[in-house]
Amino acid sequence: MQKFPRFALVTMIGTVLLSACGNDSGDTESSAEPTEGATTGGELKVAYSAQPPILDVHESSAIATSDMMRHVYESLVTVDSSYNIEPMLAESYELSEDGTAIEFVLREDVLFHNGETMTAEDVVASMEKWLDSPGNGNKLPDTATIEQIDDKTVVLDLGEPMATALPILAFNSVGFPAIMPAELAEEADGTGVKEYIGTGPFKFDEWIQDQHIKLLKFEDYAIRDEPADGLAGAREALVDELLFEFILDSSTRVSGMQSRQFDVAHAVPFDNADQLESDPNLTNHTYPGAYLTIHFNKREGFFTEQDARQALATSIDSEAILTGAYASDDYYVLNHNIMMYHQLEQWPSDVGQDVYNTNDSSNMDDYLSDIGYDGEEITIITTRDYEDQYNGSVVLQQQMEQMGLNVKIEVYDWPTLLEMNQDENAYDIFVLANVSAAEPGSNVFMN
Amino acid sequence: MPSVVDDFRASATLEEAQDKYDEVLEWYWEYIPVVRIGDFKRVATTQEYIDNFRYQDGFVFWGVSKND
Repeated sequence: MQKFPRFALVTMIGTVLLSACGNDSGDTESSAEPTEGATTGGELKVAYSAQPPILDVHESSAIATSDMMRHVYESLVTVDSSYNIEPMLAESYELSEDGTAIEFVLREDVLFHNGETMTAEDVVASMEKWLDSPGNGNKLPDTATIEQIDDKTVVLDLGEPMATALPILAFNSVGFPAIMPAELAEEADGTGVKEYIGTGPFKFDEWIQDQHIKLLKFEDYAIRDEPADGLAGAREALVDELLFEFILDSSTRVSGMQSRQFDVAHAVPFDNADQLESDPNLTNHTYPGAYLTIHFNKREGFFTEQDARQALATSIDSEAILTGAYASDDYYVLNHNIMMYHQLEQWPSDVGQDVYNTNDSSNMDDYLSDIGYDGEEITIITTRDYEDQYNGSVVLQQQMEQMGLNVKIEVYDWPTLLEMNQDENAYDIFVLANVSAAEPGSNVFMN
Repeated sequence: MPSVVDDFRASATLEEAQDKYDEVLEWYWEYIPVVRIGDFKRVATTQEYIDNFRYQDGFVFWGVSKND
């Protein structure tokens, strides 16, 4: 007996159209089709600024893990360049009429890198592991379960309506729901899988600690028929080897690009961007990084009061803080929305536009007058391990002092800062960069 | 978590979630769980012989070739 909800006949088959999307941000385009007649083969050397802690994408919260392993693993659905949700390892999918379940019909003849054919059992085991992991799986309801219906059909039963489960499932970034062989998923413990076998266009070859991760072209990759578009459609490895070299020192990444040691450099410092752009052999690309955020101690102190947080939020000069952190408006975007600038076609709203970046301290003046502020000291904790967060904190301190607040800055190393964040008596504010979320409810401050 | 956020999460369709999104932002600007200062970009550099370099929620190296 089919126990899952009835599925809509007319909705969500194949594609969910969130909305059309343009990109006027000046960023590198995420179109798709490789150039006709493109050269194939060879090695692509990427100078990457960090080493991933682990390679299990379900378990890791590191962008480095997903940046590298998204070439090895695939998920049931993904997004095109306009963030429409498209099937990847699924042939099709349907959201039930009441939004409580998603049925996936699986593609046939998709091979893992070990030569085995992907089955419904593999999908169920992988998704069960993902749902139990600290990655994006925990953003789904606790009631969510995955069940095999037949050899090529699985159903994700959410237990309650949650249509935004779809963008979470399709989000191919940190914590994405990678599909792997059932035996590896079932054997994995909290430290992650020990063997990295997926279905992607590249297969894992080696990880030499503190040196590199090497991926090789997967010759038996099951390529989709649709044209490439964003992360959807045909994926094709055009190089034989993809080498991520861990180059933590930014000046080494820069000089390695100038000497042609590397083909691609990740996380080029803003200070070096103009220098590299002037080299006729090099091209700079900007892309969405993250968003800078003021986090409050809401358990103790000045900002436990909602009115205090409102007064600050509607008084600060965001543009000045961003300029202090990123130097040029080439590298930041003013944005009143809680989703990032590249996601606003999907999540548009004018709410907040009138109170964002006002640079008008009268709201704080009124609040301080109302509470009879007596000069209570406010502590901002920050780190010089991330210069943007430090520089932004300094500008924020200056603005708050101009509002009449008594503010001090304490500087710590990053691990200490994370520990202090747990101490309700240690701080009032810290400025942090947060990565983009799959959908509004997945933002860290929504939990 | 306030009911407006729970209601948003309980949307049966993405269109319904999008319709409720203004209410989520109204809650955000009322409660101020954090202050989003703004978004920032990052820079990657490629050699000029690299073709079809792309970024979408991470680097995309399938479809990329070296034409030197």
